[in-house]
Amino acid sequence: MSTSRRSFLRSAAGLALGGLSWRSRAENLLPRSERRVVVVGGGFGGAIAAKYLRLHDPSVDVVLIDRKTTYIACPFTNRVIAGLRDLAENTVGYDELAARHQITVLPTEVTAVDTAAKQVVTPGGAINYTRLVLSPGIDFRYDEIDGADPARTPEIMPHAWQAGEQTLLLRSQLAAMRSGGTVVMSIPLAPFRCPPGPYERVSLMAWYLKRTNPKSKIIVLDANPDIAAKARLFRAAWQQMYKGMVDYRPAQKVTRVILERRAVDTGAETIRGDVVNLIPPQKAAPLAFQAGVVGDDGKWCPVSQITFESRVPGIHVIGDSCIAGAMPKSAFSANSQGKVVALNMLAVMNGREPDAPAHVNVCYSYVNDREAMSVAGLYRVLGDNTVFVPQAGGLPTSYTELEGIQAASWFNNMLREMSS
Amino acid sequence: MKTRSRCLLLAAALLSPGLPALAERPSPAMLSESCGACHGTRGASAGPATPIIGGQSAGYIAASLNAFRDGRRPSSVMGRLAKGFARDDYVLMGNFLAAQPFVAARQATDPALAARGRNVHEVLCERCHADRGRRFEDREAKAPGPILSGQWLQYLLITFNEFIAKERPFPAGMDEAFRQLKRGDAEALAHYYASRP
Ligand SMILES: Cc1cc2nc3c(=O)[nH]c(=O)nc-3n(C[C@H](O)[C@H](O)[C@H](O)COP(=O)(O)OP(=O)(O)OC[C@H]3O[C@@H](n4cnc5c(N)ncnc54)[C@H](O)[C@@H]3O)c2cc1C
Ligand code: HEC
Ligand code: HEC
Repeated sequence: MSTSRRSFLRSAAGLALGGLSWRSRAENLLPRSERRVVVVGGGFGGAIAAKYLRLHDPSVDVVLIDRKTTYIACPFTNRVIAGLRDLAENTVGYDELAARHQITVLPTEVTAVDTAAKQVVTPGGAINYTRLVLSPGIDFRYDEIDGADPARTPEIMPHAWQAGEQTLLLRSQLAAMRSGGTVVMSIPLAPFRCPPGPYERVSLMAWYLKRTNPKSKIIVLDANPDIAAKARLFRAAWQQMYKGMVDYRPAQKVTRVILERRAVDTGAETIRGDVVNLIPPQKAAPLAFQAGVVGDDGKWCPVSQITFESRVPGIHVIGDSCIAGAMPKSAFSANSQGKVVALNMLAVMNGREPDAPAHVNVCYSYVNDREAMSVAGLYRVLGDNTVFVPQAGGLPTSYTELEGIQAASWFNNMLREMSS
Repeated sequence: MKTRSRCLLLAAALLSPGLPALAERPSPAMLSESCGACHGTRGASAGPATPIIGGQSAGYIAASLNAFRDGRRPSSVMGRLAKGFARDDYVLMGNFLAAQPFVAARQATDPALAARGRNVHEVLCERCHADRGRRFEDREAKAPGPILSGQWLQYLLITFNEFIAKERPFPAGMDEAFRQLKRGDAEALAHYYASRP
């Protein structure tokens, strides 16, 4: 009570408030706690941070907030698009996680972070925090593409870069495409969520089309100078299995779209597609902007590489939204960062020296229904950067059925880890 | 301040080949928890192809990591990962993971195969894979060995094939046991261990 009162007074005094109405701050949704970590975003980063906070220190009150009651994961959705998997297999809930670790899980939108009062604001009331973890994922920079807008463009040219309706829309467009049709995929400049993801999607769409629509083709317009991950292996796979079907064009940045014609423009050329998979350039999720934790680049959140504390004291950012040196934006990285933030945030809260971070990232990509390849990396903090450990990691010599099997096992464990 | 000096040490470690032991390095929990994305929280794998490692002995975990690193044992990903740790990190991780419970997999197995596997096990394998594969005890070689009972079936089948194809080297004494296996015994043994609680 007294906090909301105090913050109301601050509001009256005209401190930074991020456009909150005083009414939304008037009541607390949960009783005040002096030792509470609020985690916003129940994805691969946030759910893991919440769980490991409780595993390491059961005296901390942990509240996990996500706008959705169930989480639909992105990895393996390229298989959904190719008709090899059901989206239901990608969906997990939070009941077991909440019960086992005594985490308060709240299905609600966080509309704002009131950094002055140290509380998150939801439509049902405010929740105070001692420390806050944000793992809110990504948003799209549609404003950098002429003719594109965040509302209508994805309905016509799905990105399918957040899982759910978008995945199913691209799936149904692909299945309904006329015989001999053209799929156009646009890949933004790195960094973006899941560097090998677009190329895995090309492979799996090609696998699907080769069977159902053999005269069709896929034109890949990549803003990057070359395939952004596992280039050698993807090239080999396309050459071996999808020759004549995949038309890969590097350094082709889509700068304009003409929605009515389902066409994209690179400045040099306008290309029409029967299906257009427009993956826009990306940035941190809206909540990161609202909370004031985005850096000077106006895109991502700089953080301490040891504690993941952002430029706003007490707010830690992990997952796709943060800048973690050489680590790619992946579910695996978010999982790893969730564990590190838990350990090192507790160290700070409990007056201990933070631990030296040790991260792992392994990303699997399928090239057809059965075979996959992984790229592996270990990461350590060097100076104020997170760097790749050069002695470790790298690519296998080829894609294999064994890695296809192990990829499925990895994903099974990832979903279990975050939901139990 | 302290963090800074640690970073400098790390810088030295990263620049020199082979990652020498660091004065200050990640804690056992820090090192070991990152394995969970594939092996499950604290090594309790949800399977089916990544093995349960929580509750295995520290010696077996460290020996496995050393073998992966040196290429003595085949792997798709473990060799690439193991190269990034100092060898004494293997012991830290081994100790941390050994202190976790071995959570046996709950999975479907073929009862007829499992029954056949049990008979073979008792004759050839119980000597080292004691208590029906729940414990390990090699009185002669004193080598560390794994818990087999409750391990994931898919992982066991892959591993049996590696032994049979001579891709994974036999520890002393196990090759003789394998030489006596008849066609189909390996699969039966895998089902037997996988069916055990
Ligand atoms: C096609 C595709 C394939 C991929 N494949 C792989 C792969 O094989 N391996 C891999 O490692 N990674 C893969 N990824 C990447 C992976 O999905 C992301 O890197 C990962 O989801 C990032 O996790 P996160 O916690 O940062 O964000 P997310 O998982 O996006 O979670 C963010 C959560 O925050 C919630 N949220 C956001 N704002 C609010 C708010 N204001 N209030 C309440 N809740 C909010 C959202 O509802 C969401 O649940 C893939 C991605 C794509 C698109
Ligand atoms: C990308 C997924 C992945 C990660 C991360 C990973 N492992 Fe593994 N692990 C595997 C797979 C797959 C195997 C089977 C061997 C292979 O093909 O690489 C395995 C096998 C093992 C084995 C052998 C178990 C047995 O019963 O013989 C040990 C021990 C092991 N891993 C330890 C670790 C440790 C310790 C870490 C963390 C530093 C780790 N692993 C991280 C996937 C992973
Ligand atoms: C003389 C002792 C001995 C005997 C007998 C023996 N083993 Fe083993 N076994 C070992 C040791 C030691 C290891 C660890 C090998 C290593 O470090 O790679 C092992 C490892 C294994 C593994 C690998 C498990 C894993 O997690 O990767 C399997 C499977 C296995 N044994 C099955 C059998 C079967 C089946 C028999 C009987 C036919 C048998 N062993 C007989 C000593 C023995």
